[in-house]
Amino acid sequence: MRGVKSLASPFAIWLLLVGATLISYSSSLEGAALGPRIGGSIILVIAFFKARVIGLNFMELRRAAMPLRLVFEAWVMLAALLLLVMFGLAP
Amino acid sequence: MPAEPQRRDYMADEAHSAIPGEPGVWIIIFGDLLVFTLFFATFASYRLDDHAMFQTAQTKLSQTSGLINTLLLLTSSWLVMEAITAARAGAALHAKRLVTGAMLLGSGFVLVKFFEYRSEIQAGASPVLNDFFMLYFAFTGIHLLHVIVGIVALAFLRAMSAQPATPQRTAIMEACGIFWHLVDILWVVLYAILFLHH
Repeated sequence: MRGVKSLASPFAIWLLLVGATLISYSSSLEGAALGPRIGGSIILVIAFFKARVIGLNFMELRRAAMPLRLVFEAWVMLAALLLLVMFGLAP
Repeated sequence: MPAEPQRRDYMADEAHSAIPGEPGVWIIIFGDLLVFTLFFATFASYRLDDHAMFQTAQTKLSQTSGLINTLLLLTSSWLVMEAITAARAGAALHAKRLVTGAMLLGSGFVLVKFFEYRSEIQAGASPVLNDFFMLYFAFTGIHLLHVIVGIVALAFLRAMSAQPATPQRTAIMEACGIFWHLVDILWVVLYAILFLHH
């Protein structure tokens, strides 16, 4: 459980979120090089990764009742899939 | 970086409820997540109909403002988490200072958004210009209302953090914090689809 505890340090979570934000920002700037589909998918995956990190750590769903956590995890998964498909359909 | 209070390890806190905050707040959280998911899907659907126009319109948004606002909200969420931890540990003054910091950052978001809207409108953008800007102003406007409600919730959290911690008070403070983190989650996805995804 040590690893879980250190992951839950609010400062470490904040650093992770800021790092992910800067990666998606630079992915957007380099979108032309990566191609719109790959670059766009990376941006969406990072956004939902960040949403999950905020939910599990800042909202403390990591140690909440399992049904509550599962509903949140399901939202992350389904919303991410929905947007990946809908954005991926664009020409 | 905020100084470490005499932190009680939350992960090992057996007394903590299995439902963070008040159960009722989760109805608001999942309701909002559902509504915003419909907004995201609506945006994606309109984008499919006129992809070229959406790409052109998107270049008129300020990438810098979007990035600054994201960093402001992420940082305020961190401070709120630290404040809740401090309040649980009985470090009331430290908790109060942290929430004040989070409120200032949240107000910074509102200010940046105000200047962003002003500069976009001065450049000729408006909700009736095209579908992109109709959705952009509608969704970011609704999100901005959430930010304002969230700042009020933080003011409530700040007032409560000055009082002695009781399980009920702690649950209400957590609920205020959870709402603020929802505001952060919604923005993280809005930022990705409105500003970053080309």
